[in-house]
Amino acid sequence: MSNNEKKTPAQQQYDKLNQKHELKRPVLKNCLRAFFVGGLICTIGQAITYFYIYFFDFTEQTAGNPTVATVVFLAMLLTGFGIYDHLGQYAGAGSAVPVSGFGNAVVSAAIEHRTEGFVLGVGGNMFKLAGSVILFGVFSAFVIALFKTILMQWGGL
Amino acid sequence: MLAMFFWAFVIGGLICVIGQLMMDVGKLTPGHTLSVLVVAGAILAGFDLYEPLIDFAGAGATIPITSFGNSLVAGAMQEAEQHGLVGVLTGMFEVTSSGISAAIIFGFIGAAVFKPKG
Amino acid sequence: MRAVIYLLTAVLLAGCGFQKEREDSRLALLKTTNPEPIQIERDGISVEKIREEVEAINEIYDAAVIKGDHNVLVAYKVRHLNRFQMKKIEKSLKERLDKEYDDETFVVSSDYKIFLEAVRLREDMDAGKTNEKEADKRLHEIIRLKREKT
Repeated sequence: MSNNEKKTPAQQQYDKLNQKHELKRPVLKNCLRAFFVGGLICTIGQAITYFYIYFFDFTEQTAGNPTVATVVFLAMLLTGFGIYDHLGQYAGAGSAVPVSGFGNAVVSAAIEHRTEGFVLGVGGNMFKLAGSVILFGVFSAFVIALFKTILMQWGGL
Repeated sequence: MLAMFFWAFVIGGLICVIGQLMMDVGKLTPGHTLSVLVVAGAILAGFDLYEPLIDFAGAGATIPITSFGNSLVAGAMQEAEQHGLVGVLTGMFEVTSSGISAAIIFGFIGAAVFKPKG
Repeated sequence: MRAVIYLLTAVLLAGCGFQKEREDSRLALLKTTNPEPIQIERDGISVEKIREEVEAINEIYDAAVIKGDHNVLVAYKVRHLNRFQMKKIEKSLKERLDKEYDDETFVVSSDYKIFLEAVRLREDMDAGKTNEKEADKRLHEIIRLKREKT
């Protein structure tokens, strides 16, 4: 603890006790679970991609978009039936990092706040969890693309 | 094609492990973790490193949230090549919109169809 | 958990229902097909020669070549560990072909979809379902597909 000086001896003792009893996170086990579940979701995504390539007019380049939409749709179903929550408890980042986790965040927030009405409840809370992802994604992409464009135009990159 | 499935599994799994490590070892909340990953994807796209990863791992690179940052940058750059600096603003959602619009539409449908639990 | 299993089974069964397709193209992405090249337009270079040349490149296996009225389509698969450099390989192959045969227009693609469509066209022609005029139309469709970006 960095701000130990400001604490009374009793508080320091509590901190020590707290540290001793804090649950050790089973990092290796969590990582293995995240790896398998995350990998599995991506493999399913790959299967969906090939499905679109085989049966519809999508190329490898363009099949990404319908694949993402499909995965979000599946995430909606799993969230609605309460399965995705269980998956999240088991897999941790393995279910949060794929876009299905993004979809889950949006859908579960939307369902949860439905009782407050569609405009204020669903509309206002839908992006409560996922909003930060969109914000930082868009802003960082803006900065990066801006830098790159300027470098390319004036630096002759 | 089988190699594609294998590498989609491995690379997709590895990106999730990175996220898990950020949560467990770096003690970040899931929200922070996802934000960092999106920014990381955007940075990789800035150095033209994310496209080769998609070529190599397919859905292993397009399904994790990092691809969201990548497609934002890719859309902005594509438009910037045609329209200059203004394109950076207008092109941003050119490629990405599918993920977000899908999330919005399905989120709304989900809210209309399913009942909240406990 | 049970619902997940049901869902997966449903997806798998749905997948099997579709498998009444033609022989080779169904497996075109799984194994090396080595489709016979197609020569719709007879003038100019021979497609055999281009195919041999493309397949001689180390990073590439399995090439499909279609020569139409205006364009020559070259679709190929890249060895998996070389897929990181896929865009570079595509660019250098196009430059090389353009230089070597400067009176032809080449469309070069490593996309599985383009390859698959080339194999399907080959099969339809072999089965007598498609004549040369239709084949040329199909070729244009494939090239349009290749140019599409989003």
